[in-house]
Formats: sequence, C-alpha cells, structure tokens
Amino acid sequence: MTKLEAVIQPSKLDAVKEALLAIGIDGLTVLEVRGHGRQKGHTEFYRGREYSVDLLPKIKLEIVLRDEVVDDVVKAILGASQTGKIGDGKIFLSRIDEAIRIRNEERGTDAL
Amino acid sequence: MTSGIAQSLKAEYVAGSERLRLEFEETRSGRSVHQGRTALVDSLAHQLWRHHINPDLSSPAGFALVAIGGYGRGVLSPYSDVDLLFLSDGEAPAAAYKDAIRAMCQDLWDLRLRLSPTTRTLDDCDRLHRDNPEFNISLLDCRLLAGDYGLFRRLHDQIIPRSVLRDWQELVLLLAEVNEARHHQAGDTFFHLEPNIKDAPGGLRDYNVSNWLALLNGFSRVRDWTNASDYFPASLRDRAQEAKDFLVSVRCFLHYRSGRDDNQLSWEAQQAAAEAHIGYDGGAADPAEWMRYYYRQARVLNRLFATMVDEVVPARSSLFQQFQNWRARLSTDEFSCVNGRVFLQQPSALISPDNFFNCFEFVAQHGLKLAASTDVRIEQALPAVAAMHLTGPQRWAALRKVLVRSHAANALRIMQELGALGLLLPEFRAVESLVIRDFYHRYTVDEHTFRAIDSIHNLHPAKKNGGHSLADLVDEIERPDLLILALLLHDLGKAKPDDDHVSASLEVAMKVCRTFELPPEDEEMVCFLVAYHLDLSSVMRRDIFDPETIHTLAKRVGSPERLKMLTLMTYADIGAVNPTALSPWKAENLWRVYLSTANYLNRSVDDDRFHSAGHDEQVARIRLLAPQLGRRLRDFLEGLPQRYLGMHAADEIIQHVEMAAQLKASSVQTQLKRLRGDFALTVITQDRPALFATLAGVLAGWGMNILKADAFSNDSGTVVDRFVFTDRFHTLEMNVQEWDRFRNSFSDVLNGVVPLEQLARKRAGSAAKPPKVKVDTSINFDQESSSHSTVIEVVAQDRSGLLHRIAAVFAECGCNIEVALIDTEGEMAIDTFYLRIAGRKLVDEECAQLKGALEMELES
Repeated sequence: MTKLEAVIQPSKLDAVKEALLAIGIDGLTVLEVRGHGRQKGHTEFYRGREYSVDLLPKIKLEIVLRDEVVDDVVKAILGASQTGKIGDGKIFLSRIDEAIRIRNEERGTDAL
Repeated sequence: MTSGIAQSLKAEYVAGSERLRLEFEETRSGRSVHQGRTALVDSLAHQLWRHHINPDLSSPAGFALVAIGGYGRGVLSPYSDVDLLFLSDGEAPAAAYKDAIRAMCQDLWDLRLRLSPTTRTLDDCDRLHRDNPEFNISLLDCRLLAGDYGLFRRLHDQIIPRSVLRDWQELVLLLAEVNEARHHQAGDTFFHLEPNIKDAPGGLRDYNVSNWLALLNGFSRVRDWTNASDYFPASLRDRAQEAKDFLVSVRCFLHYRSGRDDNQLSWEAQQAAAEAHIGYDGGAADPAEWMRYYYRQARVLNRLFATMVDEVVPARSSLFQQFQNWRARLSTDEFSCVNGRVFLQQPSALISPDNFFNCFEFVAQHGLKLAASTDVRIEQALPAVAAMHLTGPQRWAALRKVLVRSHAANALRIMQELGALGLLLPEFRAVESLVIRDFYHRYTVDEHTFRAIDSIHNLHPAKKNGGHSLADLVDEIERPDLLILALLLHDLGKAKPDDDHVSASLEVAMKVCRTFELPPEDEEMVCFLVAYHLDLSSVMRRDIFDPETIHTLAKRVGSPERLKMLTLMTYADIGAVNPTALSPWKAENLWRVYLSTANYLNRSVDDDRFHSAGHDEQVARIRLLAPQLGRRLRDFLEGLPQRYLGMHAADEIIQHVEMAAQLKASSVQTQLKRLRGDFALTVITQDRPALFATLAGVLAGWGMNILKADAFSNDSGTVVDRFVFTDRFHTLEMNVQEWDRFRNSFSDVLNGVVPLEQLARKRAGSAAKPPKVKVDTSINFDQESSSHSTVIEVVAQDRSGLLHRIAAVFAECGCNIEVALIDTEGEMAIDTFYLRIAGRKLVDEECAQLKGALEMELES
C-alpha cells in the first residue's frame, strides 16, 4: 500500500476530485494548509500598513492506495493540476505497512 | 423466569407490545403508544406485586411501589426506561421484602424491560440528593402502583412539598445547570443535521424540564401541587403541547424502527419518517418539508425551555444580579427593564405602530428578552397594528431601526416568533424554518439569515471579537443598514422551487426595495449585494493571486464601497452556513482577495477610463432614462475613469451632465446635498492649477471636516470633484440661508473675487482638539500600478485643513492631480492621488523632493 500526499493549488481541487472520481478513487482526505516552496510570497500595502503574504494558501490531499493504482492516480492529479508555473505543488509517495478498518477490523487492502 | 406466572406474563407482554406496534403503524400516534404501554407495564407490575409481595394490591402497610420519572408521568416509549421506586416506611419493610424486590425486578428484567429500580425510605425522599438531583426531580412525577396508599399520600402530600420548598433554590439551580450544560454540549442550538430528539435543545427533555420548572414555580407560589402547564406562558401553552405530541410520535417511530432506545433522527430516519407521515400529514412525503415541521416544533420547545429558565431560575450570583440591576437603568418612559426582561410601562400604547416597533428596537439595542407579559401584550396588539396597513417607507423606517442595532438578530428572532416581522417584511414568512437538506447547510434559511446578521454585528470592532482584519471594514462602510437589509433578503429566493435562488432572491429584493421606496442608489446597492452574494465565494475557488482573477472581480464590483459591503456579506454568509464553514484559512483568503481587489481598484483608476466606443450597461441605462442628453452625455463621460461610473447612480450622473452644460453661463457649478448626518458638495468646473487644493481650502475656511473626497477629470478637462464633510460648527445645519453663500464662496475664490486667505483667516482662531489616537505619517509611491501617473498614498493624522495642505504641496511642486481618492478612518486620513508633472509620471528625484516637502508640511 502507498500513501499519496499531494499539495496543490486550491483552485485545482475541483478538477483533481473529478479526475480521481473518473478513475474510481472516491475517498480522500482534504486539508486546508498554508506554506511555500520556492514560490515565495509577496507584500501588499493597504492603508499605510504592510501585509506580507509569505505563506500561501494550498490544499493538501491524502489518500492511501493499492500499489497497482498509484501510477494512474499520480497521472490523474498531474493532469488536473499542472499549469507549468511555480506554485503548482508537489506529490509525495510513501510506503504504508498496514491499514485496519475500525468497524470490523478488516486489514490490508480490504480495509481501504 | 422460573415461576408459572412468568410464562403468562411474557406472553402478555409480547402480545401487548405487538398490538401497540401494529396500532402505531396504523394511527402513527405516539400518545396512544404511551398510554397503552404504560397500562401494559402497570398490569405486569400489579401481577408481580401480587405474586412476590402481597396478593392484595393495597397492602402491606409501610411499603409501596411507586412509578417515577417518565413512567410516573405515563409516558413510556417502546424502549424507554421504566423507573420504579420501592418506598419503605423506615428500614424494616425494605429489609423484610429485600428478596421479593430482587425477584420482582429479576422477572421484569427477564421480560427485557429497561428497569431502573430504587429502594428508598421516606427519609431518603426528604433530603436533597446533590450528587443525584435527578432522583428528587423524578419524584415530581410519582404515581402509586401498589401497596400502602397512606404511605404514598405522605410522600406526595407532605414529604415532596416540604423538601421542595426547603431546597427550592438549590434544586432549581441544579436543574437549570444540568440542562444548560446539556444545551451547551449540543452547541446551544436546536439546529442539528441529525438531532437527538430527546436530549438536544428543542427536544422532549426541554418539555419535561419546563414542566418541572413550572411545577417548582407552582410550589413556590401556592406551596402545593399545581397544574404545571398553568405556569407556561399563555402564548406557548397549546403550541408546546402540539410540539410535544409530535416529538412523542417521532420517538416511538425511531424506537420501533431500530428496536432499541434510539432517539437519533438520522438522515435515513428523516426520509423514512417523512414517507410514513409521522406526526405531520403535510401532503408530499418530502423529508425537507417534514424537517421544516420538526424545526418549527423544536423552536417552540426550545423557546419554552428558555422562557421557563428565565422565569423561574433565581439569580445565580451577586455579580449576575449586579449586571441585571445595571440593566434596570436602561428603563425609559416606554419600557422598564427588570432582570434583563422588557416590561411595558403603558401596555395600551402598543396599538401605536411607533411604540409597537420601538419595543423591538429597544430589544435590538440592548440585547434583552421580552417578559412573558410583554409577549402576550404584543400578540394582542398585533391585529390592530396589522389593520393600520403601514406604508412601505413606514415599514422600512421601523425595520431599519432594528437592523442597525447591535443585537438585531436577537430582536428579529423575537419579531418572527410573535409575527411582527411579517408585518414589515411579509416575504420573509416564505423561508420560516425552511430546510436546505444537503448536509452542508446546518441551519434553516431564516436562522442562517439571523446568524449572518449577527456575525456582522459581532465583527464590529467595538465588540473586540477576535480582532480580525475584516472587522475594520464594518466601521468603514457608509450604509450598514443596506448591508443588513441585503443579508435579510439574500436567500429569500430559496423558498421558490428553482435551482437559481440568486435570481429568485434578486426578484424579491427588487420588489421589497420598491415597496420600501428606497432611493435608486440604495436600491442599486441592495440589489447588487443580493445578485452577487455568491461571487466572492466563487473567486476563492480560483487562483486568488492571479492578477486576472482580481481584475475581473474589480471590474464586476466597480467601487471600493461595494467591495467592502460584498466582502462583509460573503464573510457573514459563509460563516452562517455551519459552525466550521468559515475556517481561519478561508477567512484569511477572503481578506487577501479583498486586499488585492481594493488595491487594484484604488491604483488602476487612471488606466481604466470610459470611451464611447465600448459598451457600458450603466450608460445604456442612462440613455434610456434621459434621452434628451444626446451627445452631451458621451462628451461628458469621454475619458472619465470607470470608477466615476461605479460610484454614482444614474440620476446623479444625469445631474452632473446638466451641470456641465451650464459651465458656459457660469464657470463653477456646485451642488450641495444633505446626507445622513453629513453633507456632500459636488463641484464641476474646468481644470486649472491648484484647483483641488483651493476647493479643500475653501471647505477648511468654512470649518468643514472632509471625510471623503474624489476628483476626476474627462478628456476635455472638465473636472468633477466631490467632497463629503461634516459641518463641525453647524453652520449649514442651523442656517439654511447660508447654503447659497457657502456655494457661492467656491466660485468667488476660484474666480479671484475673494482671496482664499481671507476665508482661511475666519477659522484661524479655532482651537484644534488634541488627537485621541496617534497616527504616524506614511507616504508611499507606486510607479507600477498606473501606466500614466505616479500613485502616492498618504496616511496621516486627520486634522482640520489637512487635505488643503497636502494638495497645496502638490501644486507648489508642479504636480497635477489626475485623480484623488480621499478617505477617513477614525482619526486616520488615507489619501490616494494620481499625479503627473507636465503630462508624465514623476521621476525618482521628484518623488523624493515631494516626499520631503510633504513630510515637512505634515510635521509643522
């Protein structure tokens, strides 16, 4: 099993959800986060005050997947969220040892 | 169960229960189930008493079986608890029947009854169980089942009244505390997507607690048992009964559906209850409509509970009492305020609509509740006030007074309960308890609206609530009344069976504005807010740092004032959907969108100008309204910033065109208007050096305090300058004959008839008040935003003559003001100017020189 974490532009959330649904992924966790990578923020002046936008709003998705669908999911996310500009985000993949469904104690991929 | 009787009891219980279930499927009456099941359990208890305790139901002496709690009241739902009290006169009888009690309870448990038995002596019943006040409360519902009648009478007639009267205050406080904690745990709201119909606010528990509080109230007044509902507010008595009957039926339905004591009205159960028409035969089996009925009933019980807690529960602490006493000082000739509740000084005066609605304004102003007697008086006066058929403007005047007060939502809820809101805004009735069944909208449409209004008032900086950046906007907007009116109207379209609720709401809003006879500019603002109330939410789903997103939004919004209003409306609307809808993440994004768009609007004025080749909806509308203007309209607008069009209503622009046409006859055209508390002066003339500085100087000479100003010019050099100012010395306010002299002074100074210095000397002796808040001067140049001009933002301590001094420095440095946008926020002046020297932007050296000159002038 693989855990996929993707940090994407908030404006791409709907498109990514639709792309995932289209390949049969209908469960995911969505988090509202802030951060920056190489895409640093900028500063705005408003009424004599300085407002620095150093942490930008992003959406983080978390999904645990069966290994055989990981490539398709990555492709779907890239296809829906890539603009080619700085700030498009990142995808992280990591191994998951075990998954347990609390309701009936199913384990492994059955619990996904 | 070991005895022979056990088998027959089991058969009787199973058959009886099944019979009740079948009856319920047919009648859907929870009350019948309660009665039938109580009788069934009574029968079992009697037979077991005869079998285990005594063959004679009225024996033995000194020992009795008493039903308490819900069973005592005779309200047993299919799987609810059965509370039994084995009452003993001293320890001896209880000890003697110890084994019999155990056997009897065993038999009842074996029947799968959820039995809660307790054995107590009379003395036990005579003391307050602070760790278990529920026991003392359950005694209030005691009913003899079997045993010593005399013993029961001693409990009922002597022990309970005596202990209740002795421990009254503590008992009432414990009861209130336990149940207020229960409400608090449920978020202090009866709006839950899947409510627990027993324990949630507005549930059956609220009815029971109200009943107990009423009984306790009765004890304190007549020192004996009374009929509890006699102490319910008259206006709620029948409705509370109806609500309780409804919930009882729903509870039975839920129990039968899940086969256990399940009181959770889940999403699926709502669908099933609606299909089965449980408790409500409202035609189509629509779960949203059925839930609407549920919320109406929950609202009644929630209100009954709140009223009874208010009426019965004594002050908890001296601090609380002090606060209530302080509130008594709010009393006026019309209303007195006692313990935080409003009483009428002259009830008969309510038949006057002014007095009638003043009552709600008083509530909205101070956040009070109405006393039960005031409730009744208002309901009695309602038909007489309705028969007076208030005109639209009268209705708006009465509504406006409520909307602008800080506890407006509280007053609106009360007005809706009593039917008074319907007199002012009948359109609102369509959304009363209307459910949007989508698992996102937690509140009904009316409650969502009230919460949205509340969040605007709670955002007010004076309430110091969280210190969010958006709070400043509340202070800055010119017409909070229009914002709150727009919020009140923004979802009325949801009552229409149409997917596009925005269009439907806009239709209603236009109708309401016309009925209220709002001025065109006010109607335009309200309709704009209603029509675009979802737009900022949509923008936040796009890339909010993309300049194109901001540019598009800015074009649609048109003016900073509209942007502020729409931002606040969006904040209120999202936050009132459910408690977590407006996350800090989302609120911050909203602020960022506002910031970028406000900056764009203020720094792109120069680039975004009107040209007749393009199409503009507002210009097309003006042409329709005033076809006689012909070419004059186009000539006047050509080259004016689009911002000018966004800031002025059609009729104002028509007036400006007419004024511009008079310039040949008289070179300075002025128009003076009275606003709410302020004045607005518009000057139209040909551009000339130091024009803006001179106009600001004349205003300073008259002692006027400029709050806002803007200056625009068209391609032919015609200038439209508008100043909003306060008349500090009441010169214009007190002397209407001074208006002409005031207006003429501008042409006199501009035409050189009167020197500006002469006017300025008049006010030279006026002492300036020391500032309450110190504002540091900040001067920022922006060479990026405008392609034609250098944008300079000056933030400084507001003071008399400030604008004249700034503009005079510009003139001295050879700068021409292309656009001026002047604003005041408390003691802070925020002025933005678009400057050019000899038709070009300022170079760095000129900026540095200008900055130095400004700093020197502002420090002096």
